[in-house]
Amino acid sequence: MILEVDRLTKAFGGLIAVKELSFEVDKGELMGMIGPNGSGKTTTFNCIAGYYNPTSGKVIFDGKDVTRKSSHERAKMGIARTFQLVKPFHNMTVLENTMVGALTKGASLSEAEAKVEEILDLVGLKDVMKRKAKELPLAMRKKVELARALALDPKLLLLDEVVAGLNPTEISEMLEVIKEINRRGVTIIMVEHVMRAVMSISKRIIVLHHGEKIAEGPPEEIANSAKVIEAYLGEKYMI
Amino acid sequence: MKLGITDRSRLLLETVGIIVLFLIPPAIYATPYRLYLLHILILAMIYAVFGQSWNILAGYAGQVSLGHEVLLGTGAYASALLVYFYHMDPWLTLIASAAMAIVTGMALGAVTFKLRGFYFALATLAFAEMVRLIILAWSGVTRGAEGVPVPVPQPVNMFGFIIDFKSKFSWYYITLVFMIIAFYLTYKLTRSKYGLLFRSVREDEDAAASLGVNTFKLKMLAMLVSAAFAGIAGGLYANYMGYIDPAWEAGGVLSPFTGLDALVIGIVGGMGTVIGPIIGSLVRVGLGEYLRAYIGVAAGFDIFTFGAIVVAVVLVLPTGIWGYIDEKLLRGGVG
Amino acid sequence: MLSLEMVLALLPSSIVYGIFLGGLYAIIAVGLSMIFGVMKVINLAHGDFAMLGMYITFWLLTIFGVPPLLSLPVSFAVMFAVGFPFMWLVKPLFKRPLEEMINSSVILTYGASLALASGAQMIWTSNFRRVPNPYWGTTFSIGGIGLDMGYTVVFMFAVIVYLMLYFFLIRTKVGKAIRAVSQDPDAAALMGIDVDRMHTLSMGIGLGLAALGGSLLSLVYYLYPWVGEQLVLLMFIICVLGGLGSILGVFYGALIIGLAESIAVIFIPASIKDVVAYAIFLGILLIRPQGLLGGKM
Repeated sequence: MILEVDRLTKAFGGLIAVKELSFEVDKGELMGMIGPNGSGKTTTFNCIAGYYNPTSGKVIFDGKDVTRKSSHERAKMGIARTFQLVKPFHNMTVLENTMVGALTKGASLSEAEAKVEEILDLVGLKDVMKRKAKELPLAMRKKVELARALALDPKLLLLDEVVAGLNPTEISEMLEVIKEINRRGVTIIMVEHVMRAVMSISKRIIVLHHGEKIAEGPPEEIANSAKVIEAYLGEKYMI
Repeated sequence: MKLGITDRSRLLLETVGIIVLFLIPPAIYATPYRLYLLHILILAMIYAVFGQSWNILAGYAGQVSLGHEVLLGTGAYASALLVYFYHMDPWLTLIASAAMAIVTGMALGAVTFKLRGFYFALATLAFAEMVRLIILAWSGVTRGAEGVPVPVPQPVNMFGFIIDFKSKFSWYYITLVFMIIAFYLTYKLTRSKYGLLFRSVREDEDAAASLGVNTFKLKMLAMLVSAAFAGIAGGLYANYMGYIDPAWEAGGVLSPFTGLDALVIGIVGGMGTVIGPIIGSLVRVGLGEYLRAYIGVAAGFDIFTFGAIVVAVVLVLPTGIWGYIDEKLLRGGVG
Repeated sequence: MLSLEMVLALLPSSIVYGIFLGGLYAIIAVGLSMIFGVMKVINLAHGDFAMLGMYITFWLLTIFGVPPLLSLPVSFAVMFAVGFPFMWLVKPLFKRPLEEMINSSVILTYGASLALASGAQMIWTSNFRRVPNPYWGTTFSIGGIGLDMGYTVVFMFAVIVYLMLYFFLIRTKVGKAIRAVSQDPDAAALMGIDVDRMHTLSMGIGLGLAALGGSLLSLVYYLYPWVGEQLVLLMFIICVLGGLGSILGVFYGALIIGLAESIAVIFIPASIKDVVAYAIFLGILLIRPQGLLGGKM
């Protein structure tokens, strides 16, 4: 087991975004996390990555309690993430974007440059590595975030709506890259609003609604769960 | 049109530039305005170091400080007070200048680096003004509103050269050497691993932290270098001008207008470029002097012009003069 | 050293003075908060619009003989109109990403502030001037507490204007539209609200209020071109204390700063009284970076 989330609760003032959420993730797994808008997916990610301090509960990563650790410490321990609203370093080149993670892990400039070349190749950004991130289209900026996270040599990768806003070709391309990363041994949790994308590649899915876990299981089971369908009812993106 | 520029031609350009800077004093020796011209160039070089100091913090690490005068001012005060009360060697007091500015900068960072964007900017304004008022009120140590006169140091014999501090020629070379060192160090720093990490903090702190960057530590590091530069610029300024005071009005070392100068120099020259501050400071000091001395239609006209220039640059040339040249003509090759 | 008795004797009038001062600050600061709330623009030139309001009152009185209190609506109207060209200056920044926009607005309005203040210096010179008025320096006392007539009048008008603004934002259709834009511009646009128009309108109201506050200030304070530079930081501190963007919060923030300053001068020289406001500001930002009462307008 690489990650254990234990009765995690996060409240903002009176609003409880995540409530008593517990789940575990095994090493090498590719797990999906879905739920309607405002169900607490991103908040959960932010608590795992250290962007928020949870109100109560624990986050145990790789056998260590990281609940009170800051996000940069967790990043160095091996938790990498992407952001729902892409945040590449706009005025830096793709290469420089990707090098940051390698540098914080102790590499020198030249070592970092050599190391990230392979990553850029994997995600398909090698041709544009000298371009500034702000010049790239959305699909590529999302890949920049992915590449940047990979440079940390993460044990756990948190992908926050990494296919949202992409067209079907771009989605299948991105999913291929994700599968390949997972095949190389990186544990992945994928948050998606679009259910189909997650259904197609993860073995196990958990469903959040109003900050609570309402279902957990293999994709087929989830797709037919009355509870889940009810939670999504009235939502635009039901498919 | 794209020029493209190789490392070798850049080195050549820089060498030529430095040689030209060294040859300016003899070249203008024959003109009747030489002392005036030298005065302007000396100030421009001190301001270039100060502008570079701001640029490291704001242009590279992204922490847009509006109270940068606090670093220059405390540096200037450290040197001036030691010379005035203890008759210390001005060279040694420059170390105190840097140290004092670093202490101030660390305090400023500890208070403000948890804040983002404009909250940070406002907090720096408040911090700087608070320090100015404390220096003004603490007259037992700082001589308060009276200010501190800084006597001219004794001539020094350095490798056979007699450096006479009454001479503007000596001051020209002293400030030139300091400026070249400061710019060289900036170049090295910004091209290093830390330069890249600074920029990641500037672009997006959350994203940088998610990649293992200890953003607080990095900002403190930028502050450390920035403060050392500003403090030394302040120490040089105090000794060159011979008098400093804590006045609010333009011209005081702790005046908000001095902080503004750093901003103008950085923004007009081009934030996040090494060369920018020289250009910005030539514009600020040169044009400022020109406006004040020759087109003085009314008091305030120089500041009016700089206010308008800042507005225009933000709207039309957001990357500054050198930023524009670098991006459009040199394809980002120099920085 | 001050004895406790002296402090206690000075305290009541200090508190009343602090509240009055707070009311005055609130009028100048509230426009700043509104402009940020609606457009996310940091207007560092805000104090200079108050300065211009002071000079409007000064000119109307010295040239046309208009009584200072009658110049309040003129100040408001003139600077409301200035809001349009000022908006034209700021608007190009809205195309930039939010964080960059906020940073550039800081720098741009800083430049504008200097241009306005030094422009005023070119027109009126840097001399300190005074708007002659019957309230200046007149005192009266209620229940043994000495009160300054000028500040009393200013406070009364400040409260009236504040209530009018509050009513406008809460009850009127346009006011509601402005609040909607401040809460969610995209949703407001979907509901058919003309976001651009609301931006311009709030800019005009914000600058108008600053000028009106300046006109009030001129009843009790000297005017000079750089008065805005000295005001603006204090005004921002007030807004941040009250939660930038919150209308009611500004009033509380202004009271805190007004009281802090008026009580501080019992203990420290008046020339450095702002230290207290800065220290409170930095202290509070350290504990609560979102301000004391962070919230919506």
